[in-house]
Amino acid sequence: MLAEETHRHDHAEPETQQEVLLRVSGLKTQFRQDGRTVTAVDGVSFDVRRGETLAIVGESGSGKSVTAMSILRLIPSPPGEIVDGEVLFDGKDMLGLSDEEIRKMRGSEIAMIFQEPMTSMNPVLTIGRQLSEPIQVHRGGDRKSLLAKCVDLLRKVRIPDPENRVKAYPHQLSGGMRQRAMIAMGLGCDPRLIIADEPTTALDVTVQAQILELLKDLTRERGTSMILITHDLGVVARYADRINVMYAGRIVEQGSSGDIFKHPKHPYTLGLMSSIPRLDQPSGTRLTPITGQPPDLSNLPSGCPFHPRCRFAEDRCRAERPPLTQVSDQHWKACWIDVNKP
Amino acid sequence: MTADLSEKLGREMTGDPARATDEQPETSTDTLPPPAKLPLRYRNRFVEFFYRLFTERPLGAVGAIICVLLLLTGIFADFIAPHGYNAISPLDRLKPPSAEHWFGTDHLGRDVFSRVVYGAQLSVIVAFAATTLSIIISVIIGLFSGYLGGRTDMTTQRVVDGWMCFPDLIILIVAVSVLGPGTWQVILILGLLFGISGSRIVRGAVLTAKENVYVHAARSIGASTGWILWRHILPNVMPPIIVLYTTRLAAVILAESGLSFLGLGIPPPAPSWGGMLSIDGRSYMFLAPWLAIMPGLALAIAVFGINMFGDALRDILDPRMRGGTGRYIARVRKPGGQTT
Amino acid sequence: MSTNHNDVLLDVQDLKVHFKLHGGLFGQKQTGTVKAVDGVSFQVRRGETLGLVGESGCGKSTTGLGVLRMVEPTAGKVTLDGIDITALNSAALRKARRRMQMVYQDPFGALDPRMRVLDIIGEPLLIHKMFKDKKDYKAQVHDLLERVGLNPNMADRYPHQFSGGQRQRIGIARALAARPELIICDEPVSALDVSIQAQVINLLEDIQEEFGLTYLFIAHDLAVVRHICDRIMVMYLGHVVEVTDRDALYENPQHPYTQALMSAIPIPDPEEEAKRGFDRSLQGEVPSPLNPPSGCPFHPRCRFAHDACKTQKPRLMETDTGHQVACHLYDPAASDINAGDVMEDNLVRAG
Repeated sequence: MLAEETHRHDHAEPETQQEVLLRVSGLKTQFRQDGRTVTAVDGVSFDVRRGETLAIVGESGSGKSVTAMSILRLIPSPPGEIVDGEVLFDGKDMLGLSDEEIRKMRGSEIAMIFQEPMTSMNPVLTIGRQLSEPIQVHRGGDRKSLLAKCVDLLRKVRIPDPENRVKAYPHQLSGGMRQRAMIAMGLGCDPRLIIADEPTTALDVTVQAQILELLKDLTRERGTSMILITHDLGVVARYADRINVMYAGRIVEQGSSGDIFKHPKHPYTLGLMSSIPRLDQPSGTRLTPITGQPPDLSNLPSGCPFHPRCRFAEDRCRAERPPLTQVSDQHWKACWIDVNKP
Repeated sequence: MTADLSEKLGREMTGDPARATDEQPETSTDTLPPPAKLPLRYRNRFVEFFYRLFTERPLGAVGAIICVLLLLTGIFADFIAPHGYNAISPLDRLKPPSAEHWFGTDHLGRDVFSRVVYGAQLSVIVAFAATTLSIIISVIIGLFSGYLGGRTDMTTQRVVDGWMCFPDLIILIVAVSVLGPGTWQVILILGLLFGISGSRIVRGAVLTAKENVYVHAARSIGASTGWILWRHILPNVMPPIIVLYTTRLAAVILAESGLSFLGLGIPPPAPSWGGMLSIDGRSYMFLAPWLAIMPGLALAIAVFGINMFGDALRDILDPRMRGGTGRYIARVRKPGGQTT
Repeated sequence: MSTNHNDVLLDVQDLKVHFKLHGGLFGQKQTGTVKAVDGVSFQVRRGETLGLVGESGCGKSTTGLGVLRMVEPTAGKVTLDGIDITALNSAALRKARRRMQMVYQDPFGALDPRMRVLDIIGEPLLIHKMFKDKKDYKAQVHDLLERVGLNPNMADRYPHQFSGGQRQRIGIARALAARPELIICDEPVSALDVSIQAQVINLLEDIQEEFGLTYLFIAHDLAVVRHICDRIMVMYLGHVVEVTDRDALYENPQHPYTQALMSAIPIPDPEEEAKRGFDRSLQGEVPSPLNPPSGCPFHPRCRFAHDACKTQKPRLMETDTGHQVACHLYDPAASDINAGDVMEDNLVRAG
């Protein structure tokens, strides 16, 4: 493939331009520790369109969470630093904002939902207080209207008996209820983008399904965009419109959910698909795992970071890092190899 | 203990980011990686510990030096002191510091410098003996009470509670009046006193350590209680025990001085710093202030040094004390622009 | 494999593990009882893998611990190869534990950080004195390391120098060291990265074949359980709700809870997902085991619940050969609505 085809998010197409809510280009985030630099996110570019759900899939250390945190500049500094790239939210340059301006964006324009609802909530404040806080900060309002709004929010996330639950403390709610309350907190100011970082990992499957359905319904209803960060391919298949697959701080494959699941083009994506047992496949078939261990970010292999674990690897993979190139209309991959070739 | 300490240090020192450095890129069922050479940072943990002590905790390093000096003074007191600690010389009474008597002389004409040096020896002996005894008591009570839990723990802790209801000083006075004054009596009493109160700290550490999955795993393998205590719990509660040890050293030195000051500790003519402060120092405070200043200074420096070293030790042993997170707004370095 | 399928290795009869909660000044008052496991019976045949699935709080892990007597069962009988585990004194129990080992979920916590891999894997050998001399000890550990796909040269390293997947292999090697017959795997892959999970699952399958092991496989991930298990037992609030062969469970789940659980698991294929839809009927969460519902523990969340479910506990009874369900819908004696409705409903959802 030619280098000219290197993916730059088809800026030429005016109609998609219109829809884009968040554009991340060339984002690079590094951490410095003990004199070493770890590049957690290395030149990541993607768009989030209005109303869509974009999934970022990857394993631990792939940089999926750091990407999301970088968008809101929630990276602890030191040791973290965003060293390059651009994040445009509705045309506004997120990386150029002052601390005060970025604080105003958080929670009101872009909301974040975290994995562990227990530690993300203040144990000594009631649910109502915690729910009303962001609304009060960003939108204002008197006690009575805030309380009414909180009850309304809790009802929206289908928490039974919301009038009494606003007075409850976090530990009085079950895990699933806490996660619902977290979502209610996120929705409080009608954000235009929700970043959900492994929102259901700590929950049971039946509760996970309820929470994800809820998120889906709420985002559809309000036309909210969502970035769903997860390692669970099943969740992605059920809820994402488009997918970014990340490995070692880079996007290795990007495309619509249908394309990626039906025609995975990157050996890593392919490997992930064949390494998980699936309910819809005949039982007892042997799994084909990806060999080796996830890479050490401070000491990445040369060329394509996946090559030591890749069964297709060639000399070129060891020497040159593949750029993200377009394979079809809505599908990009960062790989030198054509995996479909026999 | 040394091995355990250095092990622990090695582990903490490498921290998380370093974990993967020597990891094999490839370890699947079919291909085995070549043996990797361990990087230097894993090899000599003791050296690493002192390196960190001197670079990260300079005050702790000063403390360490003081401790070493104190120890050397104690061990080589016979060679350092120019006179005996009880060499009375009536002609040289209450002489101010001079070339011959660096710290002056006391009311019996004894060389204060020699007495301070021998006092260091006495302090070192009492401190190490009493602290070691107290730690042994703490560890035994703490291990069994914490690990066995239930009724054993309940009973032991109520006894400890009861003991701790009595003010230390009263216990000391009663014990001394029963046992009589003397070095070994002081060691015994202080060891017991600090041992019982210290058992709380050990018990707390054991309670945390026994919840570890590897303790559970050892049980499921078929390990006995003694085995688990010795091989899994004890090594893993070593860091707090070491810290307890250093803080107790200073406390014991102070307590011994206090006892001797009150006349309940080591009887004269033994050169206890506390005793020197009391009998000689107080009576001649205005006439010969060096009598009080020199042993007082020695005591202060010794306690300061041990405490500083103990603090540094705790900081290095306890990974939770390491580093802050900084502010939660990412710095952005724009390609051409300035940092925000 | 030529295993005699009537050869029962582990027999658990009416196992109960209740935790008493204490209050009062001296902890003498009993304020409540958590029935973590409440009357569970099952058998594991030699060489097979029995899966224990359910959501958190269903008692699957406690069942595993009760079998090993890591927590003392309140009642019931556990028999391993004819030996009544529940009747052993503590010394005999320690000896018996050699024959049943455990693999843990957390690859970071399960290994003592202060011990070298050599000592971790060799610990069971030391405890049970299963080596001749130092050389034999080392040789055995090196052999175990190789069996689990690690380099024997790594024996002198400490756990923190390994990645999660490698640590899990070390944990498996330790379990193998005592040459056990039964291994209880408590969520052995759920803490691992997706790409590593398959490696560990394959390893578990390989060593099972090689050593003729029997597994009690505890997990919440039904896809993994279906992959590795021969038979599966579904638990809910300390009770068994359904036991059957793997394929029967997935093709024909009978208990309403099992059905809901199945539909909650997403399949990594958008087209399949679009076809499948989602069963929204299962609402709410697992109730607190401190205060479990009367009658059938699932009735507050069950859309087929009728009066009998609120008062009577359903018995576990056979509906097909080797397929047991604890639900009034399948109990001809107790039912006023019948299984036909459930089937019909399934068809509606599927089509």
